[in-house]
Amino acid sequence: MRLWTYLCALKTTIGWVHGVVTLLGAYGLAYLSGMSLSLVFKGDAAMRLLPSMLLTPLLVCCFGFWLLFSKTLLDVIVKIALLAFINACIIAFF
Amino acid sequence: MVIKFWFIFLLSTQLFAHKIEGLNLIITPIESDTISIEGKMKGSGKKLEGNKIALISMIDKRILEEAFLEGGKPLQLKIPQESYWVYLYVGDQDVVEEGPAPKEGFKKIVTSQKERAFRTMGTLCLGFITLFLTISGYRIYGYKRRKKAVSLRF
Amino acid sequence: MLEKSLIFKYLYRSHTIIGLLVLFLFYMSTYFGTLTFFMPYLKVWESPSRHFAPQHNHAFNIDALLDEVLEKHHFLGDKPVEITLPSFRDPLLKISSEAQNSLYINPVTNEVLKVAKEENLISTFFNELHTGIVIPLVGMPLMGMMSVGILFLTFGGFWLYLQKRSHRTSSKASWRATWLSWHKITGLAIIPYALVFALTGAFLGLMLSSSQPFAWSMTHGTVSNMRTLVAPILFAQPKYKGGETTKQMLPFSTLQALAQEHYPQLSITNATLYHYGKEGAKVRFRGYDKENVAQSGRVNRPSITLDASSGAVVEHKTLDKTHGISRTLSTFYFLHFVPDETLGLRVVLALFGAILAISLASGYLLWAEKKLHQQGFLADLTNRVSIAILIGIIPSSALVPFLHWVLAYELFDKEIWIRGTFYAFWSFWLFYTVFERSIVMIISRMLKSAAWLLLLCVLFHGLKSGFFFWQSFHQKAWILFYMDLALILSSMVLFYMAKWVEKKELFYRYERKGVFDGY
Repeated sequence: MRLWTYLCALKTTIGWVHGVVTLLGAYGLAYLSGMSLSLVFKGDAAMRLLPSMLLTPLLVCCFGFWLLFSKTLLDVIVKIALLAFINACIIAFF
Repeated sequence: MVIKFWFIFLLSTQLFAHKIEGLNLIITPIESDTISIEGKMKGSGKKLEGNKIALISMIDKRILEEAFLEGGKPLQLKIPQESYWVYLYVGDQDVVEEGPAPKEGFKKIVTSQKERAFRTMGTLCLGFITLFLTISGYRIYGYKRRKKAVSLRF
Repeated sequence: MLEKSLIFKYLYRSHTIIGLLVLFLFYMSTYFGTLTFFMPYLKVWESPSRHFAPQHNHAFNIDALLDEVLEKHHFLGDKPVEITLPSFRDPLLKISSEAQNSLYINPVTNEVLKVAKEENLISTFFNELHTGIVIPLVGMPLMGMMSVGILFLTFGGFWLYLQKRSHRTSSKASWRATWLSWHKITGLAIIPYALVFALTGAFLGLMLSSSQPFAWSMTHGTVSNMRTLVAPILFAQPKYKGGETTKQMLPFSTLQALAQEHYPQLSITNATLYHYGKEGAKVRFRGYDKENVAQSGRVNRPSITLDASSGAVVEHKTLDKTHGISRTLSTFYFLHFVPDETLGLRVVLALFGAILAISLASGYLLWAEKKLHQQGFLADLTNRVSIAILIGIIPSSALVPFLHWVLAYELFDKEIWIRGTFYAFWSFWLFYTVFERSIVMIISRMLKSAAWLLLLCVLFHGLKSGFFFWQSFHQKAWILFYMDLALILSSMVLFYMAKWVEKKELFYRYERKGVFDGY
């Protein structure tokens, strides 16, 4: 119960937990999306691998901002879980 | 805190980075005073082929013996009678290892200098870092004591 | 979504935290990266075997020498032999193969040189410091992560700038406002530079070393090595069969002239010999396309292959025939390495690098200003440690060329001595920053020692190599002359800065607070 209130607490500054979760989440999500991008692209191995590798550093930043602008810790976790699930589906079934 | 952590981390790790990456020169002494020499890529484990190997005297930098690595077999050479280095030539890099001594020992010996530079500079480096830590600790200690004294006065 | 004030707050705080995390390593990378823009010239300056006045059209003639050299030094065999022609990067002609130590030939005197690897000691070391490879295992990925951090900071900083403009405009005449405006102006000026270099840096440092997941997912879990998938497509090496019987080869210069005739836009930098001296021998000439330098960088050289005995064209690979990704990669690498460009562009990029360093430093000062009025010892200590890093790097790196010229060439572990001394000297400054109380004193001593070291290294360079700058001016060895001149000039600048620091009240402000003021 206490954890729940902690997760739902509105943040006015970024705490350590928020920061670390955002950082790790941004990297993790970017790598996952890069992996699924390399499946989605068409062409030979070079055409598929290198563009997704080039995009990943940019994706890290995008996910970083997206996760940063969430009001509660719960928001962050929900966002990460959602995208991780979508990417896992793409990697598994594509 | 973050900064201090970074800096210590930096210095402590950078010290251990003086060997040539990616290549292994494997020297194993076998019986009757011969050594077998092999070169291997660290990543793929592929053996080197056709590279020049030289045994070079530590005393006067003379080339004692030259040979070439051949198709996958380890190269066998006789151990010379004086302290020597084994050089492996690869493109722009040389890999250098100190050669092992024969059974009865070398006739002419130069004391091993393998890690001399590394040890000296490593000690110096760590010495300065220790000095830094002690002095800043001492300063902080003094600062806290002074503060206490000030607050006691009132 | 959040309301505007909260967005601003979040951005601001994340900008500060990530900035502090990234600052020190990336400052190191920027500093040495800016120096490595001048690497080709530094390479010439640091090795005595390259100390000669290069002729304009590289009037070398290795036709007579080639057969003999290849025979004598065991180059003939199944492995291709690579010849690097003299250029502004290296005035020596280089012959190398996978199996042999490289050979260097002086194109003016046709003398065969055996150059020790210690010759490139300074530039190699600076380059390794720039890429972070000096930190074992994690070094390069770590620098890559720092680059991603810089990407984040650039975007975030620009966003903050936009927000701030609409948000509020407070301009108190304080140091904080000064630093803020410095940080803002320099930051805005280098946005394109920072984006390009951070993105390429992140790709080179982080993505190349952590490419396994991508390869793994693309091949559905069978192969996890990106190189084995991509290298055969992008870097396909031609395989030529050689016969057994020996045959007379055409002279090298004739072959080169023929290649030039068939492919006039090609500026030849390298040649590869396959099965030289045997029947069916081929020579492949590679270089950059004069009309499209960016796309024909080091990873995507157009080439023309000739039969070495008849001079007939075997393969003609123009730029349009190369892989599209290769061309993109080449452009990308071009932006980071500027491989075939000479001094002009390099100076411009180095200026941008200096501005980036100023931007990073003013970012730190902005944070330090806020902490200055806080109680406690932490702010003072961090200030001192960051002086040791941000400014202490200058004397430490000035020590490297000095020692390079002072220590004997025969010393077999010279490289380790010099690298060790660099770290020891750096940690000496770390110690000195807490030992000495006056910050102005610390900074000016750092700058002065750096200036003296640079002057001395010019002196010792003259003594050891016999090329004092007036002599190199006389003999028209311009690279040596300008390197010496640049070192003397930067030494003067450092002297001036050391004097300037002593007069500025700004630096005294940092001395009053905290632990080290004492009484």
